[in-house]
Amino acid sequence: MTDWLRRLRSALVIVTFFCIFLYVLSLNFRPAERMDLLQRAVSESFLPLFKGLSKVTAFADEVIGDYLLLRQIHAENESLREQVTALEQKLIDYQDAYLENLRLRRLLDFKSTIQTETIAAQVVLHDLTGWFQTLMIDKGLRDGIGVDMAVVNDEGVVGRILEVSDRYARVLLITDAGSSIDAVIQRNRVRGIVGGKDANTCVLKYVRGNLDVQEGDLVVSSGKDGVFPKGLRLGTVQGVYKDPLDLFQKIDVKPVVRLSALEEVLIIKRDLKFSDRVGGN
Amino acid sequence: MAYSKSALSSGYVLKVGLYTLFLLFVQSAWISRFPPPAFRIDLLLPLMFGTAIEWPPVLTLAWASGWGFVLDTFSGKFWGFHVGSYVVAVCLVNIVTERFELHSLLYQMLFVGACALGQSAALGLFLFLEAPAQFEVPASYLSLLIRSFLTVLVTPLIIYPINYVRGSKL
Repeated sequence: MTDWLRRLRSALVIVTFFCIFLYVLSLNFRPAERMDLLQRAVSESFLPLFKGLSKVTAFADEVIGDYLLLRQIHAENESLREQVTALEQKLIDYQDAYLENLRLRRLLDFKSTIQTETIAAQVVLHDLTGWFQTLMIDKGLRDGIGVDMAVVNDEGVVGRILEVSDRYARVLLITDAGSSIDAVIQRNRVRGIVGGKDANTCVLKYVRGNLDVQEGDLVVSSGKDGVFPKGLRLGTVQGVYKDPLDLFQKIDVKPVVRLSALEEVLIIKRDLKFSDRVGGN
Repeated sequence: MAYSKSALSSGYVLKVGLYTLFLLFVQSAWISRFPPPAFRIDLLLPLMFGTAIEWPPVLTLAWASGWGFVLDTFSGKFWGFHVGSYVVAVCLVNIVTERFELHSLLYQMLFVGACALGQSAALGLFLFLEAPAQFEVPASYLSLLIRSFLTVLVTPLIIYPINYVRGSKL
């Protein structure tokens, strides 16, 4: 009897862990939406700790940086004094140009390109493995964040919202292989899809080999994918490789945003679907 | 050679839990941010090995599953990668302890290296399947190989505190 109970217990343990593993594996095939109960429990529990830690590490970095800086401060001080004198003269020139610019803008009735509401968020955590291009921000469903909202900063496009929890959200960066953004080259409106390649590079895909693409071209969002507004900066063309046997040319794009040094981002709000609202299924 | 896994005090488990949190912080703040991809190792894999040779099997499996799920949640992709790696490592330890003396440092390093190699292979396969056109096979697999080797090197540093805390009156 005891032996039978022991075997039953072992079988139950194996079945339990198998079920747990099946659940975790099923998460790979679940469409991106609001995080489930377990994921929310983990996110809401651990991310406040990471948020506090990032402030501690930033302070330590600042202290160490200041100490190293002191050793060069004297020589730099002298050099800076000379620069200040030259810059003061330039400032006077630029002020004149600025005033003229203001007048011309009023004449042209210039409007801001981004007219939608945005939410500012702080980056809490980058991907723990270092091999996937995702990060966690400190805004979630309670702040009106929804899946597939565009994430930008003052330099350009950062990515899009992949999953949301109550107070946090996961962002898929443009450098991730799973990212796809409908884009055009600003100079000649050649259209393609910007996808991720590695931590520092994207690729502009599906551009036919006979189209004109040059190094240094600015790539911007086309606005046709329904996620990113038109005209947002994505990156600059870093390299163009044409294979006569291939229909498309290979184009490397360097993102304009320094993704490894991100601290604050903006989320461009759009109307949530009914199913994305808080409390919905 | 078989050895017994004696009962654990809640204080000892709590200390190992705090140590695991510490490794998680180090992983998030520095390890995952290293510019060379080969340096982005998994600090918790040797830790799971260290707990598996000291703790009862069911407790270690639950521990590995829980922390693996935490890492999977903060990675956001390839769900089951960390859970699977840690659970497989724990199961292999429990199978192999009947035949090998896993308290030997050399065996520990070799065993963790083998697990890290398997983990890196799974990671490489996922990255390749996700975007075959963008995945540079020679460079990426070399990085993964170096990643496994670096995991072997840090294994003693990560496992030692577990044994020290167990043997001390802290």
